[in-house]
Amino acid sequence: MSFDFSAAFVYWPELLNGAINSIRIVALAVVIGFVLGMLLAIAHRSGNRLIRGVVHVYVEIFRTTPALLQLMYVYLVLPAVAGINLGPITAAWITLGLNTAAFFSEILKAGFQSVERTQYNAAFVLRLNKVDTFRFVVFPQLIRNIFPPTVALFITVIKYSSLAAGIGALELTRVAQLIAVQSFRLVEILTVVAIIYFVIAYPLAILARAYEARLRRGMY
Amino acid sequence: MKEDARKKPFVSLRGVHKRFGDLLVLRGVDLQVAQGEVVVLIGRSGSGKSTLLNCVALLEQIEAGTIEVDGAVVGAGPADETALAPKTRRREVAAEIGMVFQSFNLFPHLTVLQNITLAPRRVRGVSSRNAEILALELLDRVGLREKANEYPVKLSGGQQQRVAIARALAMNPKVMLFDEVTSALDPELVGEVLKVMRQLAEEGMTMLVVTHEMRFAREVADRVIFMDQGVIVEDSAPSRIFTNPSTDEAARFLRVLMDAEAVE
Ligand SMILES: Nc1ncnc2c1ncn2[C@@H]1O[C@H](COP(=O)(O)OP(=O)(O)OP(=O)(O)O)[C@@H](O)[C@H]1O
Ligand SMILES: [Mg+2]
Repeated sequence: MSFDFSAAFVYWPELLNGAINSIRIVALAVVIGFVLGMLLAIAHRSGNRLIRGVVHVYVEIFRTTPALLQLMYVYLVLPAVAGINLGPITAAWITLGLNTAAFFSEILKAGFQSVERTQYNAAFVLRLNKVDTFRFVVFPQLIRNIFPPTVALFITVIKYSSLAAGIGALELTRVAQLIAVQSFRLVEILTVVAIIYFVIAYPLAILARAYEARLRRGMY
Repeated sequence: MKEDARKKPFVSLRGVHKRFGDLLVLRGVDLQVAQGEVVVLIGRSGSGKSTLLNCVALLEQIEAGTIEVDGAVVGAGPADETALAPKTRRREVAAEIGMVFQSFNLFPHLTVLQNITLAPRRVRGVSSRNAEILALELLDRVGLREKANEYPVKLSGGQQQRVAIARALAMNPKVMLFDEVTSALDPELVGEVLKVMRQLAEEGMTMLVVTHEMRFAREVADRVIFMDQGVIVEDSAPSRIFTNPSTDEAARFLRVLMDAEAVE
């Protein structure tokens, strides 16, 4: 069989539109995920038993159920039960945002735990106040510790965004699916789309690697 | 020189009690340390030595008794709360108490120089420039000037510990607490740290030192204190405690330590 990649180029406006929708889903999901994740982590750290329990349940629900099912819940169950109707793209970034928040709060939690108790003691006996201790001692170490898993999470969100195809959101994967079927150029279209995902995510992977290499050299 | 200084204690603990949950770790500790005095604390693991130092460093809140430093009550149990010095004075005195830990606890993301200058700049308001000048002087004192721009991971344990001492000294403390600062070091690195501490003692620093280094205790300490189950059971000059301890407990503990040292 012969491949004709020109099919992918013929459909470039549709693909571009799909890519833009994907980026929109990812960008909004990441913003929601990082902000809400931070709030969850702070709530978990400072909150009482009840608050910690709520955060825990939230996190575990999102961690233990399939993301596609989460999407279906928000897109299909919410209108039926609560009468809230969301478009598929809106449903996608909201759901992925909530999902990302759960994972990001866990990353932050581990990050805080990885700054050793002894560092707080050292700062304390130097009589640094709480704000300075956080700003100059804890925060820089926290950033260092959460950076690699956060980049990995970002890449995961990019990949998860393709699940929105499952609820009919016209993002990159869904568009590719439609075009592929219509044009009978399955291999070409899907290959081009895979490359697009790769091109978007790979720089992040490189960034994570470069940072880890830097850490190995004992630098920050 | 120490005779007249001894009249007024610089650090004074009275009836200090500390518990962790159900575990009563300090059960009425009384201890006076004069200005310029070097007091070595010894005792079995779990006898409360670290807890005692942590209480003096104000890392731990005590349940009963008082802790007075430089004429100010800086720590007190709930019953003695009224004895506490005003907050600003307590903060002032807290900054006169320096502490060095077994595990160095340098800030890994900061260079040696930044480790030392951070607290003077942020707490004492010293300018960056002056803080650096001071830090370099201190690094000279501990023999590590050439490491100023290294990160802690690049240093040996002995070097890290000397930086930790320099970092504490940068706050210009009037009393220094050392909690087994050589215990985590390879044997060949112990000497360089003890040398710095010895020098500090000679310069007249008031020091409370938890250590298993009996030679250091014998040669540098003015007093050696033996703790057992949260109380001080023996408090004597090193010449006395090593030759003629007054309690069997201390005698047994010292025999084990000295045997171990003899083997080395
Ligand atoms: N933060 C804490 N929470 C609960 N228990 C503690 C805490 N710190 C110390 N302890 C307990 O208090 C007792 C005294 O501990 P401490 O560290 O003061 O002993 P130590 O004399 O320094 O012993 P070592 O020689 O092993 O360092 C121990 O039984 C210890 O387990
Ligand atoms: Mg100890």
